[in-house]
Amino acid sequence: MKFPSHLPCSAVLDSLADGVFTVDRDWNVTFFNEAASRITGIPGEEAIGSKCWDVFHSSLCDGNCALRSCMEQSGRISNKTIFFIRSDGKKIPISISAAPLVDSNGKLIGGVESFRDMTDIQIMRRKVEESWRFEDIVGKSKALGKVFSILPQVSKSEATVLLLGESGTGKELFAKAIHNLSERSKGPFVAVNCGALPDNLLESELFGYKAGAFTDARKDKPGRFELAAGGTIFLDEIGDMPAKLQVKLLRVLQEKTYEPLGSVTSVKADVRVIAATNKNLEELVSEGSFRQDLYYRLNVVTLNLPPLRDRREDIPLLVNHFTTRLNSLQGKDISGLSEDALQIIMRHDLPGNVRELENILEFSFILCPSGFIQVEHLPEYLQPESSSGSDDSDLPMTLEEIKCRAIKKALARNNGKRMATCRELGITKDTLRRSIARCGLSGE
Amino acid sequence: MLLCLACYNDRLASVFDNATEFKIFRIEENNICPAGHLSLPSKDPKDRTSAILACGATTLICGALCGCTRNLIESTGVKVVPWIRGTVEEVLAAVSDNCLDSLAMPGCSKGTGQGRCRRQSGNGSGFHGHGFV
Repeated sequence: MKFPSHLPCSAVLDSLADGVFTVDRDWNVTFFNEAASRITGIPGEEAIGSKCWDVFHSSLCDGNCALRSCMEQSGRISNKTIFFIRSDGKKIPISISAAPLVDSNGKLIGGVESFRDMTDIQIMRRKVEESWRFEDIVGKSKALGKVFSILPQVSKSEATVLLLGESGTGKELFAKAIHNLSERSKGPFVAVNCGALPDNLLESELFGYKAGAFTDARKDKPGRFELAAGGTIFLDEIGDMPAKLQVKLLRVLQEKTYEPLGSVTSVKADVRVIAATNKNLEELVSEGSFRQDLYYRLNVVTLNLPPLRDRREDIPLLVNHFTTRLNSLQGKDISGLSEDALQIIMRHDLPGNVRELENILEFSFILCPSGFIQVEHLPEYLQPESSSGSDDSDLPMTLEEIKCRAIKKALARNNGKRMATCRELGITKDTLRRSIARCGLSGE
Repeated sequence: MLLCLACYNDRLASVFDNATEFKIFRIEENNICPAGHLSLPSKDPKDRTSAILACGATTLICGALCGCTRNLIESTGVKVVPWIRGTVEEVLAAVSDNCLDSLAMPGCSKGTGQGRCRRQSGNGSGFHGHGFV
């Protein structure tokens, strides 16, 4: 269909909401529509005749020009997201499409690029991402959603909180979030690892001492409870707290007072206590290594932090979160995980939880120069077994053997759990049951 | 006085963050002499600022520059002349003739009067009327 002859082409282009500009083969701007002027803030008369990189100053202009690759390879580029710097110093995200321009004889005469301001879409995306996060905790899973929903009320109260969860689930992060959302947020947040200090040191570390309390005590030393006055004290690995100190802590929780070592007077404890452990405190109580009365005092509000294997849908969000953080920390431009690498991580059990995921990404950032993190950039223990090893996948197999092998491996990855295996393989419970019987395998 | 040009090939990089090389020039009386160059593998603005300081440059001439990076560089005492375009030769000639404003990027020229670029460049920190030589 021919373009109507009576209709000026520039009028059509000027009516578009997207910015459009054309260049000749020497990269001089030959056309700059009204939307282009509006988005870039550059008047058309100043843009026309200038080199396109001096007008557009985008992230691609120095070396990765989209128009150049279109013109050289006679191809097109659609919806590539980049940014340009507006002359007021703001980085504006845009989506570009580019194509070569040819005359009626098919001769290349330049290129055309259109661009769309993505600022609003990016703001919306950021808002959505924010709804998936709570302070520094990222996730949209149901398991985490339950915790998120009660966190604001828990934070506002003065209640003692007990955080239960495996190592690496982010207990300190939750403790900080509770502190930041509480009335005590302007006060200090002091964290103590009760399992990291010898028993005799832990007492003086927590409660401080008075000069003369023991041989080396020449002057008063404030304890962590005093340092946390007006704020929150986070007692990590509370399950490792020695019995003698459990009594003292119980008194702090009951009477809100404590006595520094060597002191004859009590000090008021103006702190909120958040405790955490990866141990089963109830079991410790029944074994007699943890005081029952202290357990009940600590157990006013208990938050169970789900392990990452129970909220796998959060893994892509967390990957995104850590990638952004590591990019800004290391000045890199990694786009994220490739699909293959993400698949491997999604299937991995992640016994170290969020901390392990963070470590995997930190490791991969070292090996990956730019672009997407590929499988070969992952730590060795996540690399798929090579065909030269015990894996005999290169040997000829029947389709039935391949199916059995896939089911066996998936069952092993999911610790024999049938439902998880079904989800991973995308098959029904009945199909899995029949396959297990046929292949002579066993499932949980 | 040492001058740093943020370059891509033989021209000023369109965007400072994407410059692949810093070209350093010494300005002595009426002469501008090459005083070395630094290739820039990292895109981190902090690394780039350190590089400018490490080579002793006191003035940076570059293309488009985002506000945060500009603040970072200026906080170290380096004078920044952004939104300039042209080849290295053209820029040095303009510095020599004290007419850098003629190389202002489109939308940032003198003709725009109180345009955005002039206004944000603050008191005397813009590219107009620099007495480099």
